[in-house]
Amino acid sequence: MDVTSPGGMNMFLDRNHPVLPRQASPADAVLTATDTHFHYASGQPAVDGVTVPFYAGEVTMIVGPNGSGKSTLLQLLCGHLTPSGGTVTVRGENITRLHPLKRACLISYVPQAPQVSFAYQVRDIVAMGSWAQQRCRPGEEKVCEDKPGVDRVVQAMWDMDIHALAQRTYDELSAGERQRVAIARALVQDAPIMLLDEPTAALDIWHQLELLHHLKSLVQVRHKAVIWVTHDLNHARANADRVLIMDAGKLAAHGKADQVLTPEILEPIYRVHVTVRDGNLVFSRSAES
Amino acid sequence: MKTSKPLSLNLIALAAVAMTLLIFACCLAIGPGTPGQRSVSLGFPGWAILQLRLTRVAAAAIAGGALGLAGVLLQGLLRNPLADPFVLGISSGSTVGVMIWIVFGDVLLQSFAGHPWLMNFLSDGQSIPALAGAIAATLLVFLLGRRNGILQPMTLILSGVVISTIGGALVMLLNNMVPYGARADILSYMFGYISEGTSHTLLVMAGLALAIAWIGALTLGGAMNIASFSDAEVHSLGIKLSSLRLSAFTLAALATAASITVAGPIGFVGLICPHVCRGLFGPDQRQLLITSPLLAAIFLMLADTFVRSTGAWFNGELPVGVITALCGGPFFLYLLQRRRIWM
Repeated sequence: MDVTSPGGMNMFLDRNHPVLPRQASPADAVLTATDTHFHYASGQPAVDGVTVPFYAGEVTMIVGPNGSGKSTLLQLLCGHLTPSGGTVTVRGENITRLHPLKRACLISYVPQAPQVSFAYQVRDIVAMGSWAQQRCRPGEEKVCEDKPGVDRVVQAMWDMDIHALAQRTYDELSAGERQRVAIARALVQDAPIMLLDEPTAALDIWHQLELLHHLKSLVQVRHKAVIWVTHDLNHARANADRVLIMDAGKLAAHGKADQVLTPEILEPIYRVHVTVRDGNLVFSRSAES
Repeated sequence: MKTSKPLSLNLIALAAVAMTLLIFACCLAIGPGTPGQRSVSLGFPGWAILQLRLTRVAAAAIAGGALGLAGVLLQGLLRNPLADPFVLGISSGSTVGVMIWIVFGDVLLQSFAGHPWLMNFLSDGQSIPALAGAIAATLLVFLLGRRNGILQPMTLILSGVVISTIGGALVMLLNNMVPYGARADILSYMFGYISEGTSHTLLVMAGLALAIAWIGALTLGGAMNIASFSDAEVHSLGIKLSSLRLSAFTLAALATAASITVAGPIGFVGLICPHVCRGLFGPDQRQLLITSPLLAAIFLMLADTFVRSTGAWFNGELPVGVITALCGGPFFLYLLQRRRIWM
C-alpha cells in the first residue's frame, strides 16, 4: 500500500465549496433514543429513560460525571448493547433489528480504549474499516460515497497523521497512536453517524485540534452526525452544536451548549463551584465537598 | 478487509501445499523395512508395507492438519495466544471416554449384542469412545461458556480449565479401577497414538470432517481478523459476533474430533503451529487458516515417521505426543526468548 502521497490532507473536504453552518431540522434526526433503559446484571440502571434525537450535520457532545451512563448510552446508540426498555432507531429503523452489515454502514464507533489481540500492522487495521462497505448487497442502500481514484485507507491514515506508522504493529504504538488508528478505521468505515467515546483522551493538543477540525469538516461538508463523549466541558462549550448532560443514568439537560453548560445546571451535578470567566467555565471545589 | 497482496497469499498457499505433498511422499519412503526392524530403509517398499505406511502417514496428516486448524480458530476465537484444541477440556474428555471404555467396555459390548452394526462400529477400538468423550466435553464447555446467548472467551477458557481438571480426576478414579497391566495403555493413549491399523472408514470420516471444517473456516478468515478487536468494535464493524463465535467453535470442535478419532490427544501441535505461521506470515487469519494446518500436518508426519522408524531403539514405539512435546516445547521456548511469538 502506497502511503507516500497524501493527495491533499482531507479527501472528504471539497475546498471549492464554502463550509456553511446548518440548522438542524426534525427531519434531520438520524438517530433517536426513545425512553431508553439499560441495566447491568446487578440491576442498577445505567441508562434510565433517556429520550433524545441526534441530528445530521451536528456535533453532539455527551458529558457527565464518572458512572453517569455516557459510555453505556453510546453503546446503546451503536447497537452493541440492547436496551432493557425503550428503543433506539436509526433512520426510523429499530437498531436491534438491523442487519449487522447495514448497521455498520450507518454507524461507526470509536471506543475509549481500542483493543487488538494480535500484532496487526496499522494499515491492515485501518483497512478493516471497509469490511461492511465492501459487503453491501446489491440493491441495498449504498451509504458510502466512494470517490474514484482515491484510496480511503491511505487518506484516512494521512488525515489521522499515522501514515508514517503504516508498517508498524499495533503493540508498538502509544495510547494516543492507537486512538488515532481507531479513528482512522472509523473514517474508512465512512458511516453517516460517528460515535466517539473520549477520542481525545490520549491525544496531545496538536492532534486534538486536528481531530476536531477534521470531524467538524465532516459534519459541515458531508453532513455527518458526530456524537462525542467527553469530560472536557469547555471543549464541549466551544465546539458542540448540542450538549447532552447525563447524571446517574438520566438525561439531566439537553440543548445548545451555552444554554445547558451553565453554573446553575453543572454545580449540582458535578458538586463543584462553577463560574464563567472570559467565556470559559472555571471550576473550584465547592464549600460542601 | 482490503487484501494487500492477494498474489502472495496464493503463492504461499501453493508452496505450502507442494511442501506438504513432498513431505508426505518422503514419509512414505522412510521407515523400517519390516515392523520391528532396527535399520531404517529409504525408498518405496513393497505394496503391502506401503499400504500400512500410507494409512499411517495419512492419519498423521489428517490429525496434524486438524490440530493446526483448530489451533488457529481457537486462538482467534478466544483472543488468547495460549489457546489450543485441548485448552477447552476436549483432551481430557476423550481420555475419560477411553477410560470408560477400558473399564466398562465389556459390559457395554454385551448390552449392544443385539445390534451387530453397532458392535462392528465399536470394534474399531478406542476411537469411538474417545470421540464420544471429546464431544461430551465440548458440549459441556459450550453450554457453560455462554453468557446472554453469546460465547464469552474468558468464560469459555475457565470452563475448559475446570472441565479438564474434573476430567483428569475422573481418569485417575477410573484408572484405579483398572488392572495394573492396562494402566500403561492409558498412559500411552494420553500422549497420542497413530497406528497402521486405523480403520479406513474412520480415516475417511476424519478426512471428511477435516475438509468440512477447513472449507468452513476459510470462509471465516476475514471476519476472524476483525474478531481480534474488542466486542464493541467487532460489532460496530458489521460482524455478528454470536454467529461468528458459534461457527468458529463448532468448526474447531469438528477438527479436534477428527484428530482425536485417528490419533488420540496429541499436545503442542495446535499450540505452536499457529504461532510459527504467525511469525512467518503475520497475523492475517486468512493466511494462517491455510498455512497452519499444512505446517501442523508436516510436523506430525515427520514426528510420526521418526516414531515409526525408531521403535526398535526404545523397546517399542514412543507415543507421537512425546516427540511433538520434546521438539515443539523447546522450539516454542526459543521463539519466546527471541521475542518471536506474535500475539
